[in-house]
Amino acid sequence: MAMRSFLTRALQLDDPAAHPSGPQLAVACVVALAAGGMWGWVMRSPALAVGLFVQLALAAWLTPRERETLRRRVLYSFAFSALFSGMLLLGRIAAR
Amino acid sequence: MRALTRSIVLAGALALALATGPPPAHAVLDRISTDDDELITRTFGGNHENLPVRPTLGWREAVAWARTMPAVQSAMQTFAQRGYLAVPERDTACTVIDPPATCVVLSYLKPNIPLPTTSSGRPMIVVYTYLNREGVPATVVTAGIMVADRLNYAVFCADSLPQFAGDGSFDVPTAGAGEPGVGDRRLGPAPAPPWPTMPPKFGKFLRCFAVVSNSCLFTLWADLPPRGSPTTDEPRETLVLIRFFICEVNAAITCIEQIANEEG
Repeated sequence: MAMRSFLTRALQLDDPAAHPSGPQLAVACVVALAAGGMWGWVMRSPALAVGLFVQLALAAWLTPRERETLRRRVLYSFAFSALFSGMLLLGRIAAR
Repeated sequence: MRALTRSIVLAGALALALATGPPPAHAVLDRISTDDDELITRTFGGNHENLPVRPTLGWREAVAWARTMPAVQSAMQTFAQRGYLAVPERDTACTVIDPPATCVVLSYLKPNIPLPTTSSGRPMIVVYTYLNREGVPATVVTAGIMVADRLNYAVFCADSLPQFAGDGSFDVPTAGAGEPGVGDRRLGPAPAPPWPTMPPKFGKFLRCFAVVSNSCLFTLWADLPPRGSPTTDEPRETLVLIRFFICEVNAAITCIEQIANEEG
């Protein structure tokens, strides 16, 4: 029960204005899928693709409705994916 | 007017001299010969008569190698006959890059050493292998008692003291130089250090994770509260923590996948 209330409050499930609408979320998920899939393919890492999709979808879910725009979503998704993939490339080099 | 005329005459004479004289020679830089051999780091793998010589040689491996050399064993036998006690925890070694050399000191103790309290003496075996310009090794094995005089701040060989007449220093002859650059592999890898070491895969994971997790700082920046909002916003702080945690988990998973793929 405590965990449910924590998640409800943390994910702001009781505040519809804190989330994008259904179409907004669908578009954000498509963008997240594109960004995660592209960088996962570039880095040849399925775990990276899945992880990026989860992170980007969560970021979209936690964006207030009035701040969610397509341009902002595309920029954020691809910038974060590129940053994470670049860091993973550096991590590969460091792990050798 | 006269001065001007004189100047013109001087300039004309100079121009005439330059025009009729030999043309100036082009400066040619001769190649300055350098000893290219000195630029090469010479190494030697070690054999029965010589210590290994390389910059990455650990002192434990050098000491262990020295103990297997027949010349050193001969010196150790002589020391044992004299009643010296080995102090292996004080054995040490060093490597020198230029000139390339390895030096090992095996430490001993002489019980009831006849010295005043202001002096101390230690028997020791010194093994010194150095490489010449062609990388050919040569080794000196010498043994004796070194005395440190704390009153006079002096260190000297005990041969000069009459009470050490039976403890004279000596050199052990070695068979000669070996082939340059090669050597026996009589010892395995260097002994493991006494502290626990992490598995190599875990070390790789840590290095990868240390780099990738930096990208999670981006989530902190992206979740900064907009300007004008209160600085303490508990739901937003919780959100930041959750997203940061998920990002770190993702970083860990991707690093594990990378290392698994690399191993596979």
